[in-house]
Amino acid sequence: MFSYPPELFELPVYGVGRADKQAMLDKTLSELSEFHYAHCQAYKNLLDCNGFNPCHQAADAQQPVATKLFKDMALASVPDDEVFRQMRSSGTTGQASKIVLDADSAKRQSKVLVKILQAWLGKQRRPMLLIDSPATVKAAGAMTARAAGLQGLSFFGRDHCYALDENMQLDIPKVRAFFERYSQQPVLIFGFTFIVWQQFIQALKHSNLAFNCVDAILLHGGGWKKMQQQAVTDSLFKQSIKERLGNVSVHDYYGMVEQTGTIYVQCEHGYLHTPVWSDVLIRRPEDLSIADNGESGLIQVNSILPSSYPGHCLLTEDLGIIQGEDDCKCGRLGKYFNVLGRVPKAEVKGCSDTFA
Amino acid sequence: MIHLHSLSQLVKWHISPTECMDSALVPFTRNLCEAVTGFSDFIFKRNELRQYPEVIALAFWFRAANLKHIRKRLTDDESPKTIHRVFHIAPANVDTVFVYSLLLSVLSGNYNIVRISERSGEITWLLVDIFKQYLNTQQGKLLQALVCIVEYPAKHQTVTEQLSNWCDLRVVWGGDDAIRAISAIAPHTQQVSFPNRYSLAVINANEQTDLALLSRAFLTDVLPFNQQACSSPKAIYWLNTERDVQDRFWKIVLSQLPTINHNLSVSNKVEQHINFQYLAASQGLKMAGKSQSKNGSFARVVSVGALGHCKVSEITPAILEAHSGNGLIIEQDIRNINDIACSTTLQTVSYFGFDDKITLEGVHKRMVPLGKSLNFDVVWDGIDLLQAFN
Repeated sequence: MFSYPPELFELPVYGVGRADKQAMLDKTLSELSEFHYAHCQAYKNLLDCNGFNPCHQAADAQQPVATKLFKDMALASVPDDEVFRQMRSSGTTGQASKIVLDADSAKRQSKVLVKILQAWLGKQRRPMLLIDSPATVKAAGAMTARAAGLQGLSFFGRDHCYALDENMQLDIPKVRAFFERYSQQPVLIFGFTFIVWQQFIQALKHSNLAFNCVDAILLHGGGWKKMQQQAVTDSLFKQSIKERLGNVSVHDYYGMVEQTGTIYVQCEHGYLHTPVWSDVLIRRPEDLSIADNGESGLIQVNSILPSSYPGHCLLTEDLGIIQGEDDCKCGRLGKYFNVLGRVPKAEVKGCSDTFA
Repeated sequence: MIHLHSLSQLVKWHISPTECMDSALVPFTRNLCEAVTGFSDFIFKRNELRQYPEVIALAFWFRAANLKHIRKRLTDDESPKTIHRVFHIAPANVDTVFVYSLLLSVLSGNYNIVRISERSGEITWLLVDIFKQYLNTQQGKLLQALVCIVEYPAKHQTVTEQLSNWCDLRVVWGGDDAIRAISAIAPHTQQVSFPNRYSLAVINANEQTDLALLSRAFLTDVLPFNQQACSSPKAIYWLNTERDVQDRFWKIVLSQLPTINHNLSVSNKVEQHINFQYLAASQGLKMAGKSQSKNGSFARVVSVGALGHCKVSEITPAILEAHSGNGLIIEQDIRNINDIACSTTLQTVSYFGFDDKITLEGVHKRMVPLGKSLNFDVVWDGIDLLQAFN
């Protein structure tokens, strides 16, 4: 089993400067590569392809594994009998990713998620409005990313209220009761971006409903693909939220089921921030070389958490731009970046899916 | 034909069935041949179609001279005609192939229904349009009774079943999953199918080789359909070819790429990296001539414009079967032509730099000069279509 120095998780979330952070990541990520090399045959094959030795390599020299591999293959570095939980991406298109966690990984993910979110929400639990249906988390089978997100985030609130009914429609009496009771105190609102927009904000608008919160935080994530299709920008989204709910501090976040735990939260200046345990690299799509800050390219996410599967360095199919490091106006240390969306997909026309 | 009209709620007829799809026809009559070559002329006359090389290649194939040539194959064939109605299930990946299948069947004197996928590419819709217009011309009128084109989702199995019951022969253009699914519907139906195949190129080049010619022939085979046709080469075997000749070849490819129309974009580039990783992780693909070295980098594809390539130590059939196209070329140096990864799923071997036609001991379906991989043939994937349609 891979072992972490316990003090690693006591580091300040956004308080370690470049030199120290990169030295820690270089060391931990190369040790993780060695571990996965010894425990996962497919990962070993990948490194052996070019006789690559991951020992003592810098973080940006490590092999990034394409997230799509987790859809096409079972990649695990723990034996089957140690699998504690299998996570599935909520992907509505194509196959889902299958991520295996042992008990320690699952615990570590939760612990890190708590640290990161407390840096934004404070330690006090707020009354919480979840913009989803209670049925979502009750669905049987392996846990979807959406259910995992709702369940994971529930921990940060109290007096939970689901804003949508079993049919994903606005539950007006419940929402009204929630705000009547709590709008004058700090509250937490959580949901998936498109659901918040389509099923909540649009429904409030349609019913001509508005509330006046004095201190609310909205945390939302899950991607902008559908929002872009409807030409909804980040600023229009924020403005509509404030029109309907009053004084709300709105934070997008970026994260994926393949690296649950280390999420990237958007600051008040509109940038996503890397916590100390993870990092973002941008690679040029042509040759996977490292792009300059300010240059768009494929997002690679590195995280020291994945020890039960070789997902510590992941090449996504998302495009992004690193805006800078350690010098965001919000004062948080670490790289800060923006996500531009998925690489535009060409039509899928493989030989194997003719009759679909 | 009435029962076909009753399907109308489930399907979209682009070209509807007529009431007179019954009387027996004689293959390769003058009328049939003229109606088909007329289609070819109809395409040639429209200048705006010149931007689609696949469509021009199709028109060229059905020119009068080639029909004469095709017809010659038939003279020895005395067997009576058993097929009259053909149901073609067209692939979504190779836009023009359904027209070859359809027109050869027309020439063979059959009534035809073609099912196209709603996910078909731009050129399929263009061809459907051309057909509609041609059928309204004096010359094309004859085909009205012989050609129907229908679109419906695969989940409407009852439609597939009824069309299968209507026909004497079902032609299924891959892939394996589609064939499996369709074969289970009206399983008694006589069927020819074209399952998943891989194809490759073998090149023998030296200092004297015209690399510009080689590069052009190679790109002609690789670029159309984003390298996803079954006969698109996925690999290059370099037979006794020096490294610096190969390097110069890739430089010329890079310089020619901007002069040729293709649809490879950034997402295909990303697919090249992903597919390459998948081949390494799942099939144990190894880059050539690499040993454990502390300063080496992780494996990656070498980018040449829209294409990517990678020299490996050994290509296996399984590697090429798992290759997803998208402009990725796997390369291997070989000393002997029989080092090629042959198998029952190897379709086309295209060759360049040989004085005579080469012979290959291993199993393969077809051998053509490089640059002609995508050219259609009456015998396709080992199946003589004229016999099948008779």
